[in-house]
Amino acid sequence: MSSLYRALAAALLALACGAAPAQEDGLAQVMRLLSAVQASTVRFSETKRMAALSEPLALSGKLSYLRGGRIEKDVATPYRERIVIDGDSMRIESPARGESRSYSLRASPAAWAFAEGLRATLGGDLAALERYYRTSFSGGVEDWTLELAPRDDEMARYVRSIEFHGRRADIVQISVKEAGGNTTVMALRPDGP
Amino acid sequence: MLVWLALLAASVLVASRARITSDFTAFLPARLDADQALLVHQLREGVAARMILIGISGAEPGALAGASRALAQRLSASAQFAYVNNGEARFGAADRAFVERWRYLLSPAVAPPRFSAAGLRDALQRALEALGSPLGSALAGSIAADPTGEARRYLESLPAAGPDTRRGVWFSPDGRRTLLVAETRAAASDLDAQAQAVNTVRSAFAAAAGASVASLTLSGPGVFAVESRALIRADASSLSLIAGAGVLALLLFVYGSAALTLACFLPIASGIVAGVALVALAFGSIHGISLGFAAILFGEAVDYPSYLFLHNQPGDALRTTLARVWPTLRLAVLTTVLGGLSMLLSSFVGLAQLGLLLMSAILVAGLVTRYVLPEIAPARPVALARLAPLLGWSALARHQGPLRALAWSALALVLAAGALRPGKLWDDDLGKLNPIPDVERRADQQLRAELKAPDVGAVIVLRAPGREQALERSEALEPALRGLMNDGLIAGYEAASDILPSEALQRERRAALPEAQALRRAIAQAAKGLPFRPGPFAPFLRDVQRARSGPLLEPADLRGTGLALKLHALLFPLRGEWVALMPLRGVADLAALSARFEALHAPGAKLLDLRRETGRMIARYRGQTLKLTALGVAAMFGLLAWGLGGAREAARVLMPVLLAAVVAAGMLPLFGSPLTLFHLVALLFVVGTGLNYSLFFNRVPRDPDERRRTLLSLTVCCLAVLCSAGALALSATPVLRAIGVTVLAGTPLALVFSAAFGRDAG
Repeated sequence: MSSLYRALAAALLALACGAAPAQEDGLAQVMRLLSAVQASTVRFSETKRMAALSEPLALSGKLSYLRGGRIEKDVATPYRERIVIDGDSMRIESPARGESRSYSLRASPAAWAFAEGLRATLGGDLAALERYYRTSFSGGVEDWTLELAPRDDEMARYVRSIEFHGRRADIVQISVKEAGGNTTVMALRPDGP
Repeated sequence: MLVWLALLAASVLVASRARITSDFTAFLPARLDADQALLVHQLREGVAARMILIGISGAEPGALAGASRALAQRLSASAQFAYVNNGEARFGAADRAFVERWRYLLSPAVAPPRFSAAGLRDALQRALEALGSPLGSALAGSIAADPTGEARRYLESLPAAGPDTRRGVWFSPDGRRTLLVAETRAAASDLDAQAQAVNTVRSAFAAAAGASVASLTLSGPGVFAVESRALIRADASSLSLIAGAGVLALLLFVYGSAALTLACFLPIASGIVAGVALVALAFGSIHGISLGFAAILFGEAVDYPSYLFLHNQPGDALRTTLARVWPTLRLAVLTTVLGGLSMLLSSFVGLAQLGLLLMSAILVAGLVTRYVLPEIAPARPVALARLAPLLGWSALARHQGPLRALAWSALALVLAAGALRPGKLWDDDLGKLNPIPDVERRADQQLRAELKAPDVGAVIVLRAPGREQALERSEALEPALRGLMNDGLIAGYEAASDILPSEALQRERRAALPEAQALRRAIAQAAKGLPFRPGPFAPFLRDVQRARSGPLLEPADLRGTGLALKLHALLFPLRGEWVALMPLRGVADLAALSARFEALHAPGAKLLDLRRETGRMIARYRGQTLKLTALGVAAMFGLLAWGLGGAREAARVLMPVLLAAVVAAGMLPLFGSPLTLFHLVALLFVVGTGLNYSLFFNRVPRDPDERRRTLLSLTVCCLAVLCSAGALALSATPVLRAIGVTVLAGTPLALVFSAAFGRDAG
């Protein structure tokens, strides 16, 4: 009897002790895997649902990431556009019109926090991530979901949540829910023929 | 005697009520040509002159950003400030609302094709792309009312000169200091209001920073004016006290008599009171600098009674002594008065004030010495034996030959040094006339650089009889300026007509807006096939119709915006006409730019380099002052020739003094301080005092006792001048220090050279 009790207690204790580290481990493990990525290029197809539009806006093209924080989004359809986030500036180029515009990310706390969230996740920098967001992680390394909620009030006025789905170091989907009800879902798949 | 008492009482009354100014632009010339008037207007009234630059440092960045926000909030709430910015928004809410309200009259893109079906189709296509970009969510709200993006494009087209933004507020490049600017409602010349504004900033900071260790740096023309007023007031009074105390101690020691010492102060006290009263009457107020200069007059004008008392020999009545020295003394007084007169003729107000003060104070001191002192002072000859140590240097003066050689070689030396080291002889920087200490000027330059605050530089000045014409000329010039930008001659420009388009242009834009039916058809056609919800452009249709039939934009509509500030800085009435300024950014080659600009032959337009123009203005007045100084010296020569009975005699007296002045003037730049106008004033003063010495050295003494008394009186006078000049040299105010140092160097030289070339010493 007492031995059964002891076994049960030991099992409960193991569960209690094991459960928390298991979650912690999952996030830490995924972050470690992400931080090992030097550069990556994936294809994206993005669907934006916006209040102003009667039907979703569908964009597709390539997304590349270079360790150190440079993110490049090349839109191929339905129009061509290139967006480069590097350091604290964002450049939007429209090759069809030969126009290019630069914006300072630091000028807007919301834009800065958004860019930092994206960069910190792609770079596997948990400390930087938690500076701007409350994180919640679910699933295992093979199939994980990381949900970010902004800590900053200013940013929360624009973004409600950002959700990443991934398998090991591959991010397969990024969903952004905006405060105004607009949503963006971006599916990512490996670049190839 | 009665006349003196009556005048003295009246002067005391006027002088005690005199208003003291310290605004350094008050020192600028009174008669100005149009360009100079513009410069002075910018310095006195310009928006830049009303800016308070604020830096907060000394805490960690988060606390600094917090303090910046709290301070900006408090200052915005104060009625004393028209505009406060800490970088939280490049344009404030008022600016955004203004641009949104008036976008169809403001935007250069408003033209008929823009609102055709094809133009709108292109605009909607762009709007769709913008929605798809990371900026999309921020723009989504404005598309229904402003599908062509006029407001956003307009705001983006305005020059974005400003510091780096971190944590949402302005920071210095090294991240150690947050930066703010606040514009006072009061004019820069309203010093009491400026002082109040500075106090408001300080107390708001104390409240905003709370327990934090952050510290505040303030700068800007108003802040400087307030500080320098306090500084000059403190300087002028403390320096006068130090100078007075020094001279008092010297005289007490020499005379060993309180009565004689007191009597020595009477003439100069009367002189200064009368001088201050006259200046206050003639100019409406007296500048702090002039008041500080009065301190040095102490040294000069105690000379006159000293010549009288020290020449008083045992057994003589004072009147008898006076009769003997008066011819020489009279010349000494009149030559100094002539020096003052030549300054009075200057169109440089500051110099004219100093000249009037010098002239009237010396004249009154001379008259009191002549007519009042003999009546009231006791005849009490000083015992020479007791003062023998003061005459020690006279042994040196006996070797006239070597001394002369020394004087000439000193001259050769400074001339050679000046030729070999062709450093800058003259400093025409207007800022150097500003009585603020160098430390604060450097702090200001740093803050200004960090804020990327516009500096005075190349600017196009447009003049027109009315505001509308000025705006039209500005608009007519813009295509040419864009051409200069394309050719890389300028990086950019600002124009009042971008903020307030001329009525003609506004009407033209209004005419480009289609009437309601046509616009509704055009937008429906444009939106065909695009995923915009049906019927969301009602706000757009409404706003365009309001712009078509509503009023034209007027300056009053800008009230409360940051753009209003810019407009007032760029467009203002001046001397019966309107001036539109177009500041140019990034001018690399001014000569090439000038050539291209001249070829434009734009009516009423002129390209000015404000910094060079200011320097040129100062140089012009320096030239005039030099001429007047030469005239003054020539007049002194004439007076001496008349008084001494011959040009040879006059030259003999004048030569050593001029030699001393030249050597002193040549020494100063060698020690790293290029000459300013105020050094010139000080040199004129050195010539005035030096002439006293030279006159007495060339006077034939009655006997050896009198010769020794002459020597003693000159020594005492020189020491008195050194006392007061020494006090001035301690001043924290650059101008006063310049005067002090020059006199300190020149006066002993004048004494020694006078002895060397005088007829008596042999």
